[in-house]
Amino acid sequence: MIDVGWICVAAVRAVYWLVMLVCNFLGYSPLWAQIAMKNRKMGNVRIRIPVHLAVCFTENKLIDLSEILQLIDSCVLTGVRQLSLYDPFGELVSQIDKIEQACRLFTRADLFCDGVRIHSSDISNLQVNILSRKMGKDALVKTCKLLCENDEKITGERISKALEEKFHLSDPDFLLQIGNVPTLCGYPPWNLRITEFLQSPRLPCSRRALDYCIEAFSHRDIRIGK
Amino acid sequence: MFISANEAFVMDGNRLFAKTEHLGSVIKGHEKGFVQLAKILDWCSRFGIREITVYAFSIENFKRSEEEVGGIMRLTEEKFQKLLNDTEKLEKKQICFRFYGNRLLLSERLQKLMDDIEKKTEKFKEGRLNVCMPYTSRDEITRSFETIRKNVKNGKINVDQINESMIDACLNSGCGGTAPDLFIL
Repeated sequence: MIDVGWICVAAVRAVYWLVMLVCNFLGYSPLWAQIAMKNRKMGNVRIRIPVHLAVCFTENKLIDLSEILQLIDSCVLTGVRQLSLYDPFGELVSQIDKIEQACRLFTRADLFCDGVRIHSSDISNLQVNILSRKMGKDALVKTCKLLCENDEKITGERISKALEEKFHLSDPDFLLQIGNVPTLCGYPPWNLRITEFLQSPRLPCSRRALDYCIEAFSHRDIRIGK
Repeated sequence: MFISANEAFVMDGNRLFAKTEHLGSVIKGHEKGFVQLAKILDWCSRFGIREITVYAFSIENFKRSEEEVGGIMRLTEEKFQKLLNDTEKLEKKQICFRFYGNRLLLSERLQKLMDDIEKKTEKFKEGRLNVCMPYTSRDEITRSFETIRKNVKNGKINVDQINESMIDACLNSGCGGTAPDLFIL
């Protein structure tokens, strides 16, 4: 019985590869051929997961809390360690209670809002930062004031350290611009030194959509000036 | 049609161009980049764009091979010298040149050429070309912060007076430049 089953599987497999071969030879690319070719191509690319993913909303109407919570879940599953959500319209800050509840009950993520710790979990594997417009130029002005009170020479390292310690701002590896307008809407400028950008008309909240974005990130040739 | 007041360009892809076009050397790609830039500046002028910012060389680019960096610097010196000698063209175009970035990282000869070009074109009013070289925005912000700190230390300003406009004024663009409306990469 098992032998018959194995023969059937082998026959189906042989027919599948035969059809693929003929399609390739004739220049047709049926859906399964496209998927197989994509998988073969994917096999050659080393998938790089961004440690810190940032999302910049450029249109108010695209901010949907349920989608954001889904994205947080997808980030946990994918292995992203830090997620910064920049909303210049203030929608997310006004709904911080709901985000906190979701982080506490479901995803067990650490949550920061404009540099202030809202929730932390002992077993968290994701840090979520909600950033408002205040974290852009205003944070830089405050950092300048802070550093000017000191007699020590101001260096890039000192500015980065101050922004990290006071506002919990760090450099994302990958930034998704959500919306149709290619703008950063005042995203904290200091932290975009080595960030790769990708524009998306909608938030890639599902695991599949996020994987697609991460695949695009993996294809990028990041040289950092070299 | 809306015409932007300040358009910014990043000079990127010269090496890839040299490779795909089999030019034999990356410097030849950079040479082509200069030629293309001249064309773009001419098109912008025809569109009536009054200010152009060109991101020509990043401080991070010093990490490249000595041969490539040296080649780019030689090419830049050659182009700047040619520009400086072409007084007739400069007078005709009336474009004011400004160099943004940390010039101290460049050779003395290049620094002198940049100073001379700025001095020669400072009174021109038909347009403005800002060349960022060698530049990173972090370096520009850091220098702005340091200028403010020195003024605080000297008692010229108070920490409470520091605001966004003060930081802007201490940036390279603070001397009459504007922020780009459109950024082309």
